[in-house]
Amino acid sequence: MENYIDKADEYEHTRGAHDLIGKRVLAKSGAVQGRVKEIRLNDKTSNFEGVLVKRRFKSTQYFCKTYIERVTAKAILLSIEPVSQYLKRTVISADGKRIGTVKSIARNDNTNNIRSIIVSIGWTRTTSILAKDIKLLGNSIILKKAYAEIKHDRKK
Amino acid sequence: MTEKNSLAGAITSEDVLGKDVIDARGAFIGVSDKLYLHPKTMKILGISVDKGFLRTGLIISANYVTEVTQYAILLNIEPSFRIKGMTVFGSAGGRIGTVLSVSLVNNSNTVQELIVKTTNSNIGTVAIPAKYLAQIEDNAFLNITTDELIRIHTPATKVKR
Repeated sequence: MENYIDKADEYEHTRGAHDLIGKRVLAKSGAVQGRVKEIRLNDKTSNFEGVLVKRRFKSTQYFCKTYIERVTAKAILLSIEPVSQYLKRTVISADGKRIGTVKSIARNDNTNNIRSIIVSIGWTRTTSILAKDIKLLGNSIILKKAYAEIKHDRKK
Repeated sequence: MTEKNSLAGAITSEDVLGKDVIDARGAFIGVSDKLYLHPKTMKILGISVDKGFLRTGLIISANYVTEVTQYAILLNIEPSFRIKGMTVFGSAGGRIGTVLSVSLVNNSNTVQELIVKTTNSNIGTVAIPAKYLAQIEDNAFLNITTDELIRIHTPATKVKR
């Protein structure tokens, strides 16, 4: 193979984008997000910008390079926990009372930062909880306030 | 007959039993159904947790309990039995297999080794020592790649499910 290289890395230090198609995309916690559908390049500079991820029975997701920690031969590892995976998770107060489940998540623009979450309580009622009131995003969403405080705030 | 104010702020066994047990990541473990007391000092040693129909319960030491609230018992750990069934990935993100069982150090919450059923038919079921574990959250990550594991693997001799 003839190489033409000037002010760039050697061929051995590059990776074919085609090899990444179909590889798993893993969140920081190890949750499988989906598989790589497309590699996206900047239309002006031609630099790598992000990946399009296809998910089973769900809409596709796009992750920009800021949220990509590593691109290996086996998978793409993200540096974040995409907030969309907290949908339908249980929301509990600081004292362990189940409040409801996450109905929707409002983000700051297209970033991974949560602005607020809408929690469905029972069949019809919903309540909005701001990001500053969230203590932990894990298997459940744990709030900073106790149930009595949340109830008091809802009545206001 | 009690010493003055010695029971102020105390809770009863009724306040502890029948409550949801929630781990450090907010997962519901089960419902508390027994209290274990020291026969002489009456000090609480731990609680028994019922995980539900046809599932074996577990006993959690009082050291792992952060708080007993009006609604739940909050733990400061994530019980290691939750690793069972998780997918194991190598450091490069390659899928290694699924956790069949977890060996703990002296009944503590510290993992000694994971018994993993691999997707590689050449190595089958392997025992992965805790030193190779990098991170455990939704799934488990090792600090070695799949190829390195194949090189150093030790077959699991006895698999406890």
